[in-house]
Amino acid sequence: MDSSSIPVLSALWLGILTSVNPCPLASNIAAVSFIMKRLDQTSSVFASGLLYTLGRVTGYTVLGILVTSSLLNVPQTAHFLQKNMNQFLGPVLIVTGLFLLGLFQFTFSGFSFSEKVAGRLNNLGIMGSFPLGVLFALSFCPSSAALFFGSLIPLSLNHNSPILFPSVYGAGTGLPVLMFAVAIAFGIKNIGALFNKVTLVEYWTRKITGAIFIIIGIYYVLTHIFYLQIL
Amino acid sequence: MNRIKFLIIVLTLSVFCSIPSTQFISAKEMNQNVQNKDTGTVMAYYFHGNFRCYNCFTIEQYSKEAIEKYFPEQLKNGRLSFSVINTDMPENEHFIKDYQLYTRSLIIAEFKNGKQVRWANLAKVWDYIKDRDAFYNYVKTEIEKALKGM
Repeated sequence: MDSSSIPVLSALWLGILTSVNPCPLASNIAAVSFIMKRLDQTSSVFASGLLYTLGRVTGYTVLGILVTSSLLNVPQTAHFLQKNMNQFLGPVLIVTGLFLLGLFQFTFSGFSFSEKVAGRLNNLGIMGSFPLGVLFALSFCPSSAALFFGSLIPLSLNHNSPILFPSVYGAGTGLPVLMFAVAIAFGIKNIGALFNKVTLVEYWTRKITGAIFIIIGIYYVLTHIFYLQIL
Repeated sequence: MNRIKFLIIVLTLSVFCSIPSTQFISAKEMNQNVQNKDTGTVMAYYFHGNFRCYNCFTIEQYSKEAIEKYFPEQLKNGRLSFSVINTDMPENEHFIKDYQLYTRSLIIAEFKNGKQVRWANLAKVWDYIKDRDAFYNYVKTEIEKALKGM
């Protein structure tokens, strides 16, 4: 793609490249499962996907502004985000997964929070997608850091566009995930409808989302805290 | 007269004293010193962190293979060397600032008289991960440039 004639499309393309890269595959799987969690309501899946994408857009835009205005130092910021955010992500995903499965229970002054929290997280299907998008956007892996800090930021600086380019890039990173989630949700829902078992499918989708979060959380803990070579 | 004699003794002693120190430098060291002064050396660094992704291993592997394939002579005579460095080790953290590292990177640094004179980040290694020959050619071209610049 010719970056000089269609630079905004280049930013979008860089975002798409980031999302289809094998490096952030684990977080993309978690995102897809989270977005399609409420597949009993088709509009919720779409709204959740849009909010997830908006979260990514916000994460990259704020970071882009801070970096291009030299408020943040690129090498140190990139190093910090690649190391610390991924270490933070593992436990967050495990705890969220446990709540989604209803397995995590703790009591405070004799009152159990597990049911309340699990219910709230289920209802967070839509609103929770936004912070999830921000969190996943800022959890850089080496290849996404190469694309964002090495290609997108220079492109933004060259075109003096610290807001538009990171925003478009963020949309590019979220769109494939959104489209994939919506397509799968429609497919599963139609299969469920075919057998008249949408509620059952929806129940299992929530459980599977919780399980996926725990598995991916364990993967992040093993690879980013204990530095095991898995892939 | 005594002063002249004293001067002759001092000069003679100093000449004799200087001979052994020159003789103790091996031919190899002499050759190395001359080379470092005249032609310099090129260092190829591959920087990674504790977390190693699949592409990161590929970049390290291709870089090593390309250097060993095209520059065996330079590796042997010390004009070129290849090092793999973990920037998550506290003693290596300074490289992040030194070479403005934002991800796993291949850096080519040129040294002359023990001082670094130039360095370049071969950022396009990320673009050539899926094309081994293009990757090799890129590394070869950039290292040739650095060696010629010495």
